[in-house]
Amino acid sequence: MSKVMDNIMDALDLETFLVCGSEEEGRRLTLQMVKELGFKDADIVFIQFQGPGVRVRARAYVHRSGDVYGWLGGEVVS
Amino acid sequence: MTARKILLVPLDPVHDVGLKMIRRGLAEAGHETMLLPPDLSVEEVVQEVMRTAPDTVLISRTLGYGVAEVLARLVDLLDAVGVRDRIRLGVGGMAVRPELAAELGFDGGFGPGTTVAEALAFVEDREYRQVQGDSRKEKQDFTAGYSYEYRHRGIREKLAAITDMILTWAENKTSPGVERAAVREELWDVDRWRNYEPVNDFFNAYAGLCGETARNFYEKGIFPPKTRRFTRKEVAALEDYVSRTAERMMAPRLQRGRPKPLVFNQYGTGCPFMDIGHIKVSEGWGADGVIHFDPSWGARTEGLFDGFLTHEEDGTLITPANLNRIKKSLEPGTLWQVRAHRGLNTPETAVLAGKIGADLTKINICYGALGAGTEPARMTVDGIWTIRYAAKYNLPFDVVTNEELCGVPAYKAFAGMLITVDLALRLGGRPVLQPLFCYSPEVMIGGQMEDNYVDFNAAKVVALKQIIDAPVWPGAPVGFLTQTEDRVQSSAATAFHACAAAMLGADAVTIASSDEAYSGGPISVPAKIDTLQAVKAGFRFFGRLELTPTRQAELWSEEIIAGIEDTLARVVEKGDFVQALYDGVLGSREDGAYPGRNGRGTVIEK
Amino acid sequence: MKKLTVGIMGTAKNTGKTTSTIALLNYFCDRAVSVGLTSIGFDGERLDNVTGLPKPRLFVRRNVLAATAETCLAAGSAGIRVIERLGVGTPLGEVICGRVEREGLLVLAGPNQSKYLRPVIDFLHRQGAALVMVDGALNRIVPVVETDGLILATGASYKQNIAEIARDAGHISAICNRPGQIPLPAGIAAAGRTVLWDRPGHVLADTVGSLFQAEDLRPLMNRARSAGGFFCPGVVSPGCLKEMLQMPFPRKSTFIFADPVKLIVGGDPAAAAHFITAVNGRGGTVGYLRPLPLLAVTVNPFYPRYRYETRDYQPAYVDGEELLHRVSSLVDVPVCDVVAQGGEKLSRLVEAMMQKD
Repeated sequence: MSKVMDNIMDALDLETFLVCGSEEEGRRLTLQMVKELGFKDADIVFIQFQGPGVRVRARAYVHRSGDVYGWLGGEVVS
Repeated sequence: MTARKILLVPLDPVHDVGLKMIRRGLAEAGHETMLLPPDLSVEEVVQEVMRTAPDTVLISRTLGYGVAEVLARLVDLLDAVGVRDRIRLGVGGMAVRPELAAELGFDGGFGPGTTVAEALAFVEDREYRQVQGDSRKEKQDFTAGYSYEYRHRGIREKLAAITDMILTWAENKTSPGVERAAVREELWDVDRWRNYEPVNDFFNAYAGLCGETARNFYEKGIFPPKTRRFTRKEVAALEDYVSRTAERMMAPRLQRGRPKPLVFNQYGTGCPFMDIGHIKVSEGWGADGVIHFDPSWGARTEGLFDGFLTHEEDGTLITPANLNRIKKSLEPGTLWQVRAHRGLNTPETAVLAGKIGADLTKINICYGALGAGTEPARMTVDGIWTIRYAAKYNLPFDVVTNEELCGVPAYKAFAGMLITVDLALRLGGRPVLQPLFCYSPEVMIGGQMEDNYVDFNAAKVVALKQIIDAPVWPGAPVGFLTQTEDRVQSSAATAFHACAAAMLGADAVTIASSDEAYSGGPISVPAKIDTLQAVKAGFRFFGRLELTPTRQAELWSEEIIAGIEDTLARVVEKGDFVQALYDGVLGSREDGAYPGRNGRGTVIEK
Repeated sequence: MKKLTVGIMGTAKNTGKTTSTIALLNYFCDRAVSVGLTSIGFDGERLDNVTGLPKPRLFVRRNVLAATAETCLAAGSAGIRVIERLGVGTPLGEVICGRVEREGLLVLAGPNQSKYLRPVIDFLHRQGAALVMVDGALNRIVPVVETDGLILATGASYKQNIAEIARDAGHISAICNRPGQIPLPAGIAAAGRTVLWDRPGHVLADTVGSLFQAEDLRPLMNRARSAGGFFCPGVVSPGCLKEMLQMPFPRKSTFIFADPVKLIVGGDPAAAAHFITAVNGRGGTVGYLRPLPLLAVTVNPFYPRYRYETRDYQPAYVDGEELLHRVSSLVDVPVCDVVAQGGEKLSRLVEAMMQKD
């Protein structure tokens, strides 16, 4: 993961509209997208299928509670 | 303050609105302002400065190609004709920053979004740092100015009888929670502790009063699950982070001209570091206060832990070190609430909150007993002591009515709230009424919110105002069960509720993040910002407008008042408050309220 | 070695002020000459405040003295021991004077008014600086009055027409170096006003201290014919200079201005240079109460080219050799391109100044 991720306080949300035929397909595509982007700790916060596809908000947690937080500075991380 | 003479100079081809707004603000503050026509040459401006001899000159100019040189030449000419050292010279416009102002030779530089207050501080020659943002937020005691006088005689008389009944019942009773609080109160000296002096007397007396989990921690060093101590390196990094953040921190207000409601949001990520991260964001984006959430299992555990501990799940452990670190990270103007409202450590939490320096706490005996799992007798004994400590430490507290979420109708929840309020008044406390603004099971079934969410919430506030002159703090948080996982919907729903509270004259409001309805993971910092921004936009939109309750709201408020009085009458009739809790007078099994079982059999007769 | 203060002034942004400062700094540090640094603007930042293009960074070695705003200390990597707070405010905090104890990058933002520059320069000299350098800001020139001599940085960033750059540099050279120092005649008290006096030394008329419009000269109009001398303490606009040449001053009149900067800041060096030539041509004299010699000119072919489509700047250049040649032909002081030729020539010149007397 690149260094800039250290500065994310907790999570990175990815919001978009995916053209697809059902919510289920949208869910699958979203999780695939997040995986392809290299995020492991990810979830779908919101998904709604309407009209031509899904409005979706996926979330990748970069720092969860109790982790060592990159934004506190280099000392801690190394 | 002496009135200053200010020359406002639009160097742009047209008058800029910002300069006119600043002019109005300066004039309102009693300063003499002169606005030059737009598009004068720098030579003409210099001659105007010489002719009018102002104390301050504010130039407005959008930066663009070659503009820096024009501004620099203006400064040079002012210097060459000998007036530069007699004036304060500021420049405002797109892309202007302090570095650029310094480079151009100005005394101050103002970017887009500069407020009148900032311009005023500059004109009045107050500290430049302050000019950059309104960081002078001060803590407000929103209970001040309330008489706490009852406006409803029947309710007042019944509450008085119930308070007598409770105090008499509790007179010879104590509990491990009350005992631990007493030890914390008497043997734990916060100054000695902050000084790293040993507090052995305290630990010797305390560990034996704890339940197994906490005793294991003190006696065998076994940590609660998913908990660890911070490393030295982490602590040093946190201190550095906090001081770096404090340097550039600005605490904006969400309310603009409106003095209230104060806006609170909650933190409790499990980790005090992440909490501090969240708190700094809340402060930076306009929250007036923050509320500490502890883990739900903390309510079921006899005894608090100790040390600077992080926890991997929701809710941050209440330990002296955790609270102290969080307290130290707060901006001076931020109100801090440490909740003591439920569970087996309720009185001790109030003692600790008081000693560490919290501003507010949260107590409700009925909710703790009916909605949060603590055995009613235990909750009553502990609740009384909690109120005493809150009064001693000068901690106003809200009396939350979240049992509504279980399905208890508002009038019963309010009757329970008023019982705690009356006890508090008797014991010298300063309670705050906390009606829940929510889409509760009661209204889902009863249809009160079929058309709109406003009338029934308004009815709650109207009812409470007709009963007693006391502060109102809708929560906690507002909009419960109206939010979805869509952050736009969620933020809008929160903002509408916060605005309704504002327009009904509420003193404070607790708001959730836009992650309120999302249960798949921790709430995120951007989600907190979402709702703060939405509330700010709402406050901007409605300004100081008031909400006049409709006829329907008034009818419902009358029903609520009648229901409250009837419920209190039934408690009086029972002659035993704890029994009334068990018998469902203040919320029954059919409603969805179950008397708690934690701490069963722990109330001791002295 | 005599103590010297040089001001490095630009005709515009990005004309090479900081590059010249760095060249001088390195030269004198190599020779263990104690150097003091300050700026009337903001120097040493990574990117330009206006164009967003990279700027030369100021790397300072141990023992260099610097006067800079408080908040700039943290912005650089050099370790500075604060000697004294100088009580001069800037938008970036109070100006402090310090000594470099750990070499590194320095961000410089000093006093930005003439009035406050003098005490800062004096303080740096008292701390032992033999050479004090005052880095300019954009096209600002007025505070440089407080220095002993001026290095003018000009180039394509000022104008992209090489002939015009050279012509204006020539005019500035003439304004600074052609007139000499002339004190006010005994008995003439100006008190901040522009005055005329006759040959015996009696004040004939007076008017405002800075002359912007022709009508500012009107109170002098009727007495010009009897005048022997003229003094203006403030700024004189190009229009007023032209007007003065039309007024019926006797042929051998003396015109005294406070300093050359008061003529340059009027905005049209050509008009000021022409005034000097015209007065001299009539047998008259132009002089300054306080001269500011031009020591050298540096040229820089670089300029930030503004792109309207993308609303940003990109680096661009004019012909460097031609620029150097054309400017040299019109000014009466040494000219160098510090980037192309190195800083030695410029530095030697300053060194020679310090060794004079």
